[in-house]
Amino acid sequence: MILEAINISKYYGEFCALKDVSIGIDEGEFVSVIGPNGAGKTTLINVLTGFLKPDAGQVNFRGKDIAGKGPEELSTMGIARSFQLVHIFPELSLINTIKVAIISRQAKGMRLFASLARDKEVHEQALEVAELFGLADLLEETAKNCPQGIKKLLDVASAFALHPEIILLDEPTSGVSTSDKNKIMQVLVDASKKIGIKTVLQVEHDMDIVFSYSDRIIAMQQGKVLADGSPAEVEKNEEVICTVVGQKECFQTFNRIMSMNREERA
Amino acid sequence: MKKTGIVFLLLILAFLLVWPFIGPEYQVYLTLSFFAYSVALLGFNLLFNYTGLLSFGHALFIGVGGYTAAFLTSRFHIPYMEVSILVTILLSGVVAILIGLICVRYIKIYFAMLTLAFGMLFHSFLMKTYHLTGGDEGMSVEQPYLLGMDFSSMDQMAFFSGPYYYYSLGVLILASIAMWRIVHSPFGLCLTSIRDNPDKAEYLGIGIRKYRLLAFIISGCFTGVGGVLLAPITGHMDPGMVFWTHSGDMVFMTLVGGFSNFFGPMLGTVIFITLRDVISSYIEYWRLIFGALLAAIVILSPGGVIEVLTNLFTLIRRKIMAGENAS
Amino acid sequence: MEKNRREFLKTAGVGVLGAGAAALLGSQKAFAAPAKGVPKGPVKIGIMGFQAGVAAVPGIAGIRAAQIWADQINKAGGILGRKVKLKIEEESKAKDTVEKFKKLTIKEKCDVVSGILSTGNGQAVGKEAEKIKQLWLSWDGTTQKGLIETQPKAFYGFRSVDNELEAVAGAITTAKVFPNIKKVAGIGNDYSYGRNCWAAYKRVLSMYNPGVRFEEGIFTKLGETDFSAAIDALAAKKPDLIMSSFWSGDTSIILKQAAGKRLFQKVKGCFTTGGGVHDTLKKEFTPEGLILGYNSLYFRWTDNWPLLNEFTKIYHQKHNAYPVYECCHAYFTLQAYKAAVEKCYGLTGQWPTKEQVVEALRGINVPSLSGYRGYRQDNKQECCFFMGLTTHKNSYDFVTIDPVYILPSAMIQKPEGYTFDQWATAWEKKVKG
Repeated sequence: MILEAINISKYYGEFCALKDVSIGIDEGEFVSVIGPNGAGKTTLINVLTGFLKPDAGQVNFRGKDIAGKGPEELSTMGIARSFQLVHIFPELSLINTIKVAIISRQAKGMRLFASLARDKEVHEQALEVAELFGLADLLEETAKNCPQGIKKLLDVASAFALHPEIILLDEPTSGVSTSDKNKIMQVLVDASKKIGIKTVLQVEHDMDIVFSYSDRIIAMQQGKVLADGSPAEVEKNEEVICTVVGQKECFQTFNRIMSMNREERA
Repeated sequence: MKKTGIVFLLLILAFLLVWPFIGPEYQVYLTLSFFAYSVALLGFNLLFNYTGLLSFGHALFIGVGGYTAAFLTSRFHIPYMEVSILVTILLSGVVAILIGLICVRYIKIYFAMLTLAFGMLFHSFLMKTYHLTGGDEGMSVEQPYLLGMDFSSMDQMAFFSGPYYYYSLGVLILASIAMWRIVHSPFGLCLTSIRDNPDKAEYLGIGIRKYRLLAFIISGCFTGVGGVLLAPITGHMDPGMVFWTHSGDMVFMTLVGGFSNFFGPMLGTVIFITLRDVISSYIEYWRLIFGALLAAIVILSPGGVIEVLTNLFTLIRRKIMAGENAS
Repeated sequence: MEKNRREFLKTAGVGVLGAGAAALLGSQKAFAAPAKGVPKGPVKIGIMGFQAGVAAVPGIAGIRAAQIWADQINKAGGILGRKVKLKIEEESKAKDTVEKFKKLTIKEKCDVVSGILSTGNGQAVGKEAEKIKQLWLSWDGTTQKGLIETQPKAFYGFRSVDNELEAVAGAITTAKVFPNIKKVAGIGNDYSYGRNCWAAYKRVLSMYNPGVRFEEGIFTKLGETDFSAAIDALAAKKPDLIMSSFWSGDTSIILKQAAGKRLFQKVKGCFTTGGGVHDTLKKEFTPEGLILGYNSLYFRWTDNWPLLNEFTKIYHQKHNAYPVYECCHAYFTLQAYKAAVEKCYGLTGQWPTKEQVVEALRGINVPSLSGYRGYRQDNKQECCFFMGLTTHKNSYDFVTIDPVYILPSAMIQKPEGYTFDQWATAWEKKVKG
């Protein structure tokens, strides 16, 4: 178990966002977290990445208690994340955005008088990451001027550039057109392999993506875990599907669509 | 830096080197203020443009530098400029750590208000501790030795147009080189990432408070050195130098010149000093003109006058090249 | 204040038109060729005063007085046939003030600079004047330390009277008109001037009223607008008299706010230099019977001094206000300069150098708005202090004083070579007998 949450709860005033949630991620797993809006998915990610401190329970990374440790500390420990609403550095170029992550990883941030432009090591590594994410043609573009899809990739690319042990992606394909979603997921999977990121946890709404790529699916509703298992197991769980899709009647429709998609891909 | 930029800079440097020989005596004297404020603004703009923190109390550091020079030269009779500069860097650093530890916990308007408050706190301190600092009457600053050399036998204006002019220019060049390296270093990049998106920066492992504090310290030290250069020009330091309106002047120079360009604030200094000299002799409402100018810049060209000039230059160059292509 | 620029431009405009054209303007005496040994072209006089902030009130008053003086002198043919041209620069913080002083000297090549109100600026400009050898006639910029401690070798700089004279005059007047007071509270501005005045007032009053007790002084920020806490604090001390060294807007504000609590109906008051803002001390909130001091100029001093009466009339016509102390300081410095130049010319037949003017200024005595005034041998100004009790019996909407006691600085300013402490100690010995 590389990352685990044990009985974590989180309240926003009276409202309970997470109630007694326990999950565990093994090294090498690709885990998706699904659920309707308000289920607590993003809150879970925020607690796991140190953005929020849980009101109860423990969060362990490689056995160490990391509950409430800030994102800065966690990133040095090997946990990185991307954001649902894209987070970029608006005025920085694409390559410089990636360089920030590499500088941080190589602990070069406090070098006041070294020339950034002449640091070949940082430059080459940034180039590598950029190429993996298909950003090699846009290196000098200012981030704020790029289309949404590129910004999304950049957000993820800079997190990848940290070479984390586990990366948590909050809706990595949201805001991206359906035809591009698979492309992006393929890029993520390939990049993970190349960089050596073994473990991925993602929050995702697109069921096609979820069922195609995940080793394990965790379904949540109203702050609780509904189901936690392989795609095959979760697929058959009527309650989960109806909750996620929203209507009991759509269970049949759901199965039909899933089998149709599988035929198409075959 | 682009080639045209380097050529331009070298031309300006060459002009500055011969200016004392060709310029009117009083205008050469005003150039000393330009050197001092330019060094001070290098510090201010590290914080403003590169870290995204607007300080409304930076005149505090000018005060630290100026009063250090006053104490050392007139109280303790240590006239060496280099000693004043080194002691100022040390003191500015200490003051910046103490103030910065509180201020960098806050951003935007809160940071501005806190720095303004600390600036005025220092003003009150100078006024109240009149047995030490002379209070409102201020302190004398004696003419310093430059590189160990005593120029007191020289006529004052000859000193200002000669040794002190070139010394100040030298300090400005060194300070500019140092700051250029800082903002183009890995540290500089990390600062801009914190400026643009502190949350994201944190997630990439950048400790935002640590970086902001270090930026604040470096900023304070540079501005302090600006204060040391400024003090002998008047020969007097008084609490008026740390009043918040003086901090406001620094913000004004930076905005008018153009904060997103490394040399923008220096241009702003030239504009401020020249305009004030020209306008205030004719109109007692010169502050009104300045306010209108600032409003015009913010509305029409937020990148400052330097952006207007660089756009103009690009336009002219394009026209020339188009003309060449046509022929 | 709005007319300033127009006045200035008018003066400058006349200069541009030249001597011949000036004759066509009728009332102007044509500037015929200057006297022998006198350079052609106007004599440039630098003027420096506050134009913004708290001290703008006296600053602008002084500038206006300089302009009226220049107009009068030019009407009468200038100085030795040379037209007077004023170059006005703003006084502000020390660095900028020194810069402007240098500008007037080096760029504008003024023969003399007349001006400066603030103590801090006086220190800085005083030093500068010696360094660049510029003749400087200060209007104000008082300091108690005097030239002994700050500038023992002053040559080119002619300083105003010392800091504490108003307080000394106030103390003497208090001793005279209120000999039986037992307890005094004091309020002043929180800077060197306020502190020095309180210390001097206490010292001198104690000489004549040995039994009097002083409460701890209250010092408020210059430019303060809310004195409710201070008024309560003063009232709580239950004094017989309250001494105030306020010289600016604070004076009328505290009287207004105190009137609500009828403080000065119950307690006596001594406003050592409140006369400086006399026309803001309206009868509604300024009771009769308070000691009020006027530094160097009391506009109702007498009807028999034409310079004063004429000036007051012109000043009121132009600016709808009555002149204050800075007007007399400005007027006097310019009168003294003219007289010194003429004196030197009488001896040498040449327009004098600055060094010669310095020698002529020392010991000079000239007619100013408030009688004859002069400079001591140690470059220190002399003037009179007009003290009295406030009265409503006049045709204005503000108070005046009656009777009027005149205390010349010759009698209440420490002589050359003495610090205030040394002089007060010697004085104490005399009084104790």
